[in-house]
Amino acid sequence: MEFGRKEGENMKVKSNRAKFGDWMFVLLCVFVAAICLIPMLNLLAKSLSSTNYLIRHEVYIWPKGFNLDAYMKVLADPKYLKAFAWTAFLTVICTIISLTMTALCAYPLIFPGLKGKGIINVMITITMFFNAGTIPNYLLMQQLHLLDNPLVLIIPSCLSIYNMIIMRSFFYGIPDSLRESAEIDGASFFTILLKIYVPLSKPVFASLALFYAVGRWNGYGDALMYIKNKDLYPLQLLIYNILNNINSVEVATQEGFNTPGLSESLKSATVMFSTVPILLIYPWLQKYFIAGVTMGAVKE
Amino acid sequence: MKKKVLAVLLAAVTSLSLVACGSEKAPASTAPAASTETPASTEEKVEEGPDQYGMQDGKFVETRHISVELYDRNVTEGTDAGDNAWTKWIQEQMLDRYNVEVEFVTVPRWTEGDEINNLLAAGTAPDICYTYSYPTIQTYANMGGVLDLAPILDEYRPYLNNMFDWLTEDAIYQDKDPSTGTLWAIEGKRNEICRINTFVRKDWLDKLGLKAPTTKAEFEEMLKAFRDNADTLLGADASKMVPYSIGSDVGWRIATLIESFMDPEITDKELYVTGYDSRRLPMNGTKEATQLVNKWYNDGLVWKDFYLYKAGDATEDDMMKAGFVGAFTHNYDYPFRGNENSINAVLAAQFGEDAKFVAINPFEDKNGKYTKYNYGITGDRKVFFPATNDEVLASLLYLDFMSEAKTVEFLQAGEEGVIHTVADNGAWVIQAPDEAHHDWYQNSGKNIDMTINCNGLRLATPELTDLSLAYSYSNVDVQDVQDAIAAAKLDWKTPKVPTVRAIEAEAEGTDLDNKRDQAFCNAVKASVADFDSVWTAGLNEWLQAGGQAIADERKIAWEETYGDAEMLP
Repeated sequence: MEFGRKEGENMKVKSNRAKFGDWMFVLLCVFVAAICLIPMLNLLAKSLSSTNYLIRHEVYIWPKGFNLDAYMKVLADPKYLKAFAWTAFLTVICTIISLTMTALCAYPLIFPGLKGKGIINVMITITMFFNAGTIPNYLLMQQLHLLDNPLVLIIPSCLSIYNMIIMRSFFYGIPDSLRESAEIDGASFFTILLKIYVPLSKPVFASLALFYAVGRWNGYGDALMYIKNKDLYPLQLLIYNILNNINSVEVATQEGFNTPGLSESLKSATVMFSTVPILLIYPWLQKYFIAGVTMGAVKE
Repeated sequence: MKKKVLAVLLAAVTSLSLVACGSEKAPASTAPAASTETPASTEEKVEEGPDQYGMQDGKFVETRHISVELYDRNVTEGTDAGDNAWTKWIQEQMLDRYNVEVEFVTVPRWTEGDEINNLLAAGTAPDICYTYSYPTIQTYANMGGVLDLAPILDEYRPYLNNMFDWLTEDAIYQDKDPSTGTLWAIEGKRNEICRINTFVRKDWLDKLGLKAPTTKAEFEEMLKAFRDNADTLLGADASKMVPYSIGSDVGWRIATLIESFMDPEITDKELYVTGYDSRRLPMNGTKEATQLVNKWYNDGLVWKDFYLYKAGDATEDDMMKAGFVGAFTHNYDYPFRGNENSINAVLAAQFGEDAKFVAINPFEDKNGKYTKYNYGITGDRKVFFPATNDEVLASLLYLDFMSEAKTVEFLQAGEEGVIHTVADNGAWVIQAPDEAHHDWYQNSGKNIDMTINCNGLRLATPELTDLSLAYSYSNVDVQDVQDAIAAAKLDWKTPKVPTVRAIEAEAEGTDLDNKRDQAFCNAVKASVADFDSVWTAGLNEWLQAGGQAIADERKIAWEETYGDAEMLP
């Protein structure tokens, strides 16, 4: 009994400590979350405010002179909606292709008996550290006839070595015995991939899908370099161009005029318009992240 | 057996290639013969025939095709940069006049440097290219990627009267290398050369019973009056008072102050040798000007956060529009730019007609004058032909067409009623087209991206141009613009440009401009006691990063051309 009470007291002390630690942790999380959230809130407030308050720089977290004009304008402009649809389509296609390519690259590399594995690994790794540069890449795209071709937004970036290594590491974590038993049962190379590795790797697929999707959604550098046809502009390039039409001093002094820019609220509204959809993917993938954590917790 | 097959194959290949060579050569050898013989034999019967360039009556007999670079600014409310009423008009005109088909190659304005590099490297650059960056052209010229225009201009001179009239020989041969005789690019010409003005809030002067300052001392007193009367001028917003606003590009934003400290009798040689940097960091006088601003800064007369925002950030403009700024120095027409969003228009909308910035001349030089430099007519866009251009004459004719006053007038002012109206005094007032004529929307101001070798308003006569210039701004008082133009012209000087060889040190990709801005910013915000050491450190860093090498090479280049002379002829 005595012993038990002592134990209980000890536990109490412990839990108090734990509570304090928890609270510190919560505070830290809130702080970090706020750092991430405040710029978004600021943008949201700006997009809903009137110009008079914006030029006085009085809008921080809450909108002043509330109005929806900026959103009305964005949603009424077919240019944005078209680019939105095209980018969404691209994102889905790219994510599917990228995941397929990544799995197809990672899977053979876990086989101990793969011939030339060392050389392949070295060659793959080299591409992580060395890049040909802008002009050689441009010439390559030109000779592949990919300039001004929608495929240029899909093919060159369909495999990220970094992501492939993550997937390979995850595959390594799956017990060899599973694969071997399937081999004994007569499963083929691809059957093992499809029936054993892919279903067991849902968390890593979910994470990489997110990486790829966000990358494509936010990417505009390739389109900026290789795409001229405005119908093929992804949403982010459209916004890049709009935000760049500013009265830069250097340019204005050279050219003697200002390119008409957008009002601050319209700029903010376009940025919100392009950011929020991709954010909505996170909660949907949340459960896979949790699965990923628990899965990693138990090791053979 | 194998040998026999090989022998037969070889023979077959050889004979085929001979046939191929023959067929290739055939037209080449007969063509010149035909062209030299035909005119001789028909000379007596028919007076005219196509000349050696395939032209007849100033027009190509066979349709030629050229491609022309055009900036694309992706203007939100604009039209397709490469396909609109203006581009169609140019295409029709060129086809009609010269039988030349024009294809426009659009290049994003904000990444034009990279894009042109890509196109040149890929061999797909348009026949007529332009850029602001001479080093880009020089780099490709060194690799053989750019045509030398000197012999080309000699050969085709008779076709290019409009261009030589407009640009003049001086501008055309500006970039000619005196030692090698090569000419890689033709400089465009500026037709508006006013540069910088200092502006002050008219209504604040009136409220405090001050007259417009005409000296640095009076200017400082005025700034102090603004600072000390913030409550009267701004009421609840008194804490936001900024008596004098500058930006992170300090050299630009205090340019006329710097010029007032320079020696008005500076020699052309010194101006050239130390003048690579358009912000005049290493010149005599710049330190003293910066020191004065440093003193103002420490007295609370200058915007305290000026160094935080890069060019293009709207924060400072917003302060001016919100009415917190008393004075600033900037482009000669800065408060008038931007139609209903211009600084003066926004001020008037909030605080009434009297609330506006007006131009003043407060920075006197040692002679009591207001010496300031204008832009000079050259040194703008540079037009060049990549080595892949195989339609040299057709391309030159395009430049000639673009040099004609009527062409430029139409591109800038369009048809009456669409792009401009005529005021009572005869001035042309340029305006945006209405909804029905949206295809005539000008994607760049006055279609500057199309008027390839003209920057600035250029109507049919210089008189009409001068008269109309002040009317090219809407939503502001015309008189204010006219006063600003007059203020910018007071005691102005045109910087003379020497003809010297290309300076290699300038072509190196250095970070000089950023270092310069950094040096200026650090010096202005230093404490008064530290100013000297901070200034010297910044200047030395800039010099070591390449500024000194450029000055040294410029000095040598000057002496190669002009010997001991200190002034240009």
